[in-house]
Amino acid sequence: MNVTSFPPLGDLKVEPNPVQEGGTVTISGDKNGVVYILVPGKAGRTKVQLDKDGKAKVVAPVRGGQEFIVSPMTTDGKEVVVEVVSGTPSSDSRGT
Amino acid sequence: MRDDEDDDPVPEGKVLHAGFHPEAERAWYALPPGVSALEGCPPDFEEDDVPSRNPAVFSRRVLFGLGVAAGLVLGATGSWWIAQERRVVSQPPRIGSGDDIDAILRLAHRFVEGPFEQLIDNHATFLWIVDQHGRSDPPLVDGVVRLAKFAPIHRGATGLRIARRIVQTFDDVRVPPSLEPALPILRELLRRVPREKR
Repeated sequence: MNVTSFPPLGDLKVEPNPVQEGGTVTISGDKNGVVYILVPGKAGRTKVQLDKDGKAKVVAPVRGGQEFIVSPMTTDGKEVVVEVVSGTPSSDSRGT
Repeated sequence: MRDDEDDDPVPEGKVLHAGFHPEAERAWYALPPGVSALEGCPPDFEEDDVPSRNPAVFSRRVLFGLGVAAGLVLGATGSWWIAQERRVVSQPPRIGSGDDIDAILRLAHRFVEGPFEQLIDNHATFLWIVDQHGRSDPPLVDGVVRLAKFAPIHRGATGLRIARRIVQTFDDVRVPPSLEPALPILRELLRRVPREKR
């Protein structure tokens, strides 16, 4: 059975978590992997392509007090639920 | 002498018995037993050949007809409404343009069919799919029920998040019967937890 078309993803890491409203998180995973950003209660998913180092930066898509999901959307991976808190984004979470 | 003393005395204490007395004497004007009053005589009234001309009968028939018509209309309307509701439930908004809905639903089904730990590890993704497309999908609802039973036992952040997400997902829609018993428990669980810890 050919399983190489769906390689198992490594553990996803999202930092910082929680992130401040308007801040940026760094997603770490498999090299050139794909993850999806899901917002509870909202239709549509945002595809995020990780780079050759397996990293990507994403701005928090929801307001403070809400959360979003970074999901590999496979049965092999494990999602990360990111909490967004209100407040002025710090230099660490703003990202570039 | 007063005027009222000239009136006939009113019998008092007379008891009137209602009912038929089998041994009572027949009145002098009564017909012999077994003789019909109309025997040999034509009726002194005309039979109503057209009952509908009677306003009372006509109105009863009209009311009956209107009732039947109203019942049919209500039944048809109810059937249409149920059909519309089922159609809406079975065809919720699509997840997103360009997305492979079938693939996403297959993923949700694999979460349910796989190990429960896998479902817990991806509960947010699973519930997001259920919220977007699978609230009327029985196997997916079974997965939600399993998570709903797990949440009060876990009592941690994951359990609270599962409880909150399930309650929000089924807050404004028809709740599947299999999930109905769990929702009050989840609401009570969330009610007992301070808002800042949810």
